Amino acid sequence: MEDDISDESLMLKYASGDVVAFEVLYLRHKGAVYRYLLNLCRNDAVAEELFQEVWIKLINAKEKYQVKAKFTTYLYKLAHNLFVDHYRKQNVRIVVDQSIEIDELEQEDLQSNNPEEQVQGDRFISKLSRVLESLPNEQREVFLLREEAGMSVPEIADTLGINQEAAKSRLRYAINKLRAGLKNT
Amino acid sequence: MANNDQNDKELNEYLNGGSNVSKIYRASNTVEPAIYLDEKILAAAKGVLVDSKQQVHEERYKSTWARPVSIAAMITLSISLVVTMQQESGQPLMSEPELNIEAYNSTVLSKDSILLQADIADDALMLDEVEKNQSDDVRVVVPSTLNVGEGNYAESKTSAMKDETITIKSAKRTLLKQKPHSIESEKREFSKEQLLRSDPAETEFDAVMELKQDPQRTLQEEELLKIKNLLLEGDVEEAKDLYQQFLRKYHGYSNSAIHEVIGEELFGLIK
Repeated sequence: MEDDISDESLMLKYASGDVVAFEVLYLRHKGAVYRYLLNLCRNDAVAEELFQEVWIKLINAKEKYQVKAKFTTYLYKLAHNLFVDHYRKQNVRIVVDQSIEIDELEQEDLQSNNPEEQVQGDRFISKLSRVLESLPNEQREVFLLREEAGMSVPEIADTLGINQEAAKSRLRYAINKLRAGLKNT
Repeated sequence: MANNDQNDKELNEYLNGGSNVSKIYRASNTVEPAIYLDEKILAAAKGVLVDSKQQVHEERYKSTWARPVSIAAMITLSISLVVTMQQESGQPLMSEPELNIEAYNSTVLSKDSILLQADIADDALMLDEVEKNQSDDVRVVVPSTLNVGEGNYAESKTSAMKDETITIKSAKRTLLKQKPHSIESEKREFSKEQLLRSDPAETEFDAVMELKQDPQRTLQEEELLKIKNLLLEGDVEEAKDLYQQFLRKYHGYSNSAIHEVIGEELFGLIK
């Protein structure tokens, strides 16, 4: 019954004291948020810690919650901010693997046939995983928001606080690199 | 330019869900958070609701009494602060009565009693005279230095004997000038036993009072009062003997003074 209700309504119901609404909301989004954080951090422990923080923060903010945008935008904004804060606190420089240069990628793109036709089995999965890890943080995050949260480019831009062109550009680079990585398999 | 067009085409294809990148990613990423995390988060979600319900209940409970009580406390504190400040600055309070207390009937009666206990015979003549001349109103001006309460009156005498004695004496004089309404009836009620008071403070008071009087006169009056007491007790013969002795001893003593001390009626018995 409550599966048909929108995320925003569920959150409002929870704010008014309906714990079942929160359970539905949590089950709906827990996997995607967790995978988003895990692929972003590339560390299980940190991902779990941030995952808990996201939901606890959401729980504590229930009374302040207002439907101004999509719930997913709100949820992933929380996750993104916590991720950034965490690495600021740790004073860790997020290492970006620049092994795949853009020029190189573009050359590969020009030379490539359709790589999707070549993707087969586990080889492709592990390759995609490695290429995803090697992506710059900004590009990986945009890709993850698209894949896990199912966000459109404007929603991604809103979540990350960037303009739509930048979001589109990052996503384009991410897709091209992933394709190139799969093609080389 | 052609390169950008190609990229846009591929991006649109990806966004429309026609890209294998998405399919491979989704196939490879099915990991879920651990069960303990689920339990922890759901428990937190429930806990917050319970806490907020309790908080609401507590706030409702508080709101029923907290405000009136705090207002009452504030008013009480403010008033006591103002009173304290005024008292400390020496400024009289608006509501404070004047210190010139004119009517303290209970205090007056107490002093009457003291006077009677002190020396009923000594003062009898004067009191009789007062009775004839004064009205029935009891109006005594109590000096401000004298603590008005009866208990304080007795206590203060022991601590500062001299000053208090003067004060008391002035009160006595005031009493003598203005007739207390029940002095005669009270006087009759006193027995000899009552005259021998056990209260040391009162005894001291009497002693001081006697010292302030003329010793010669006291001696004669004392003897007359003894005669009077004998008459009051009905021992007329003894009274007559004493009276004869008195006359022999103080043959120049005026009859009018004897009359004043003993009284007209009683004097007729020994004449």
